[in-house]
Amino acid sequence: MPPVLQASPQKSSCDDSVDALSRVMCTKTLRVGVRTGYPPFAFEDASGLQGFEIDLARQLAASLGVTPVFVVVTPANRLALLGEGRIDVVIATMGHTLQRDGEALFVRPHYYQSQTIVLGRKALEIGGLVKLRGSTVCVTLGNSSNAELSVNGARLMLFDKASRLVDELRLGSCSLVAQDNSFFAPYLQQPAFAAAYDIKFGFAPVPWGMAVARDGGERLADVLALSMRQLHLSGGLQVLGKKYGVNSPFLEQQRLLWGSSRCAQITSVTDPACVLAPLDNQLEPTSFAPLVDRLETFIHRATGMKVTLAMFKTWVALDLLVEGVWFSVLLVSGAVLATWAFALAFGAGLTSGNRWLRWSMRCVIWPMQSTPLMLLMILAGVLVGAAGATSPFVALAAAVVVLGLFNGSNAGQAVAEAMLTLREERAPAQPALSAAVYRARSQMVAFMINATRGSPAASVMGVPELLAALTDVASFSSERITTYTFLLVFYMLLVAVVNRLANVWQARLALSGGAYA
Amino acid sequence: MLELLTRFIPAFLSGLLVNFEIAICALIGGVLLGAPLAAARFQNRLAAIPAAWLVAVLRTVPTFVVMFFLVNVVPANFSLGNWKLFMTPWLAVVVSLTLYAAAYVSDNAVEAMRQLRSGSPVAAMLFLMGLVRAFFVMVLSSGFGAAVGVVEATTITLRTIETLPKLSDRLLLIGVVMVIFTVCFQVIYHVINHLRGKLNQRFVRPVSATRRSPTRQR
Repeated sequence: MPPVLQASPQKSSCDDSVDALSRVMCTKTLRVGVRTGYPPFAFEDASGLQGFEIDLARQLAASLGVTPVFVVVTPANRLALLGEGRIDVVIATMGHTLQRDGEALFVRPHYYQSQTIVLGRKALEIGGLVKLRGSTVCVTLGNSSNAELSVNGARLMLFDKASRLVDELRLGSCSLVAQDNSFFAPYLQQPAFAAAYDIKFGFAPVPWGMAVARDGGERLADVLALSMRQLHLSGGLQVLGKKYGVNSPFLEQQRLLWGSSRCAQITSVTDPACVLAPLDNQLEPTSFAPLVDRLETFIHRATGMKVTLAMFKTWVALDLLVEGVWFSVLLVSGAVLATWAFALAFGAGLTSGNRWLRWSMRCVIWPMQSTPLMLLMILAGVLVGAAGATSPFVALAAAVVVLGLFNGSNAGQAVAEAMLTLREERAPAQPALSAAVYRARSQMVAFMINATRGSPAASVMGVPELLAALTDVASFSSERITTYTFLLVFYMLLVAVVNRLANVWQARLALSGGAYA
Repeated sequence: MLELLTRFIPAFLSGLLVNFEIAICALIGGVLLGAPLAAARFQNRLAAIPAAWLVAVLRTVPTFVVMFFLVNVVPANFSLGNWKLFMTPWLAVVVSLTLYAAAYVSDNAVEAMRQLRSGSPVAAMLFLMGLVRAFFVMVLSSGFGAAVGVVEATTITLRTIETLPKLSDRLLLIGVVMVIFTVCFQVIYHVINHLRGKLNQRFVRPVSATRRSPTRQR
């Protein structure tokens, strides 16, 4: 069995060679950076390292007539070790992206193609990416495909590790999860898991490639490319796939492709018709991103705090932020006004001389007062969805009505109680509704503030307010501390502003109290 | 639907227990934090201003956002003195509701202390009624936990709704849940109001008596 080394410099006379292939042939060893703990691609058991990638490395080393030496790498250090010349090749569940193309030389053809899959309980019916609007999808932080989910209106719930997704799925906290299909492959082989959950759809395909160093790795890449082509053509990779349960149609497609006349040529490893293009997952930076970087550095130097203003660095994030701020302001304004309007309506209805009107008001108020706001939001979401409305403005309007009904029912009851006390005091005169509003003004203010504080709950029904927007930004930028602190400060300021305006309104009512009281 | 309800109702009730659990913990936390703040506002002149400021800040805290803040910003494992704590979604909901409860308890306790000082112990007792009302408000608010993955009554309802393909079934299930909540909570509110009314009656009599007594003296 080949030895497993920790990443450490290996010195010998052969190390002086600039060309990686010469060094490999000279030392008769191929140092391969591999991962562990990622079954079925690379994992460790009692007999040592195992997996699809481990066997692939062994076969490639055998084709060169050298011994593989495995160096355990992580996603964080694999390209750094390659750049430092501490390994010759990386075969470590690495997606080929345009961004990584600048850091390493990827060997073509690729050995696998993964995609992000959305997985959930079998009972759920999800038609595709566009049908996800308003649905909650649990994702891992920093996954580049999160941007695509958020653009399509999915509400994201963030987790640090992919293993947490499976736990949350089983606990029932998440009904849909999105992650690389290679991650779920071993779970889907478990009969109990496969009986309960299935793949809804896949998107954002990314080819997996092995990579060598940019400096001096060209000849090694060429040789490995020929071996890879042969492994596809001979079906060797399919055999490996079957051995480890990597059942991907990609391997069969590649076998047929490399057997075709177009890709049978020696030069076909550079032919765009035969090889896959790297995934372009880079988000376009804003024109002032360098300024933001400088500001972050300044804050770090001045205060010692590490601040990352991810929402200002890319256009996607900035657009989400601006839209979120606008929707939050509209939502809060609408919720406060709706609370006020419903309070007056309920107050007038509950104290009306018409018994039927009074009872119909009670029939509306009681469920509104007794049902969790979240459930009312879900009900509104179901109704909006059933009406086929996909516009965020429709969701916004529905959320405003829910917040208004929820808080206005309580405020309206306070107005009605105030009216009853006024009638007792002034009988037989009939006091005006404005006098009751004046008497119940502090409760009305309390419920208007409550409506402001509860407004972020509208994110559950797909309103793209700031909480939803910044959760999306955090999901693909991997930054949470500054993002959620910004969010908290924003909403606290918003509540403070509404509080201040409500107090001004109260003060005005008090000034003209003579007219009301 | 009937078969679904026989499976749903027990799961829903077990979820409702989680809501009550969260509300109990948050109320205890709110009393522990709010009572000293109320005492500081009422008695200690030096501490009154910072305590009043802190309560003013607590009043602006948006529970829903705080919950997300705690889940996403506070490390999953953290130490508080010698205690090692885990910031689970459940704890995040409890802490965010505790902040709300602390402001509420502080405001109402100050009012109760004023009543007590003015010689109306029965009026001060209304504070306890207020606590009971706040408790049930928090039971309802703990439904926010559904957004961060706490498996409580709203989460269970939501997960069941997702499995129902027909709109009519979805609306029926939500309707059933709303009826359960409405019946339970309206009964509780009416009991609270009844008790409050009784306390008010006892409170009004002594006050009326004190108002009448100076006239008699004259």
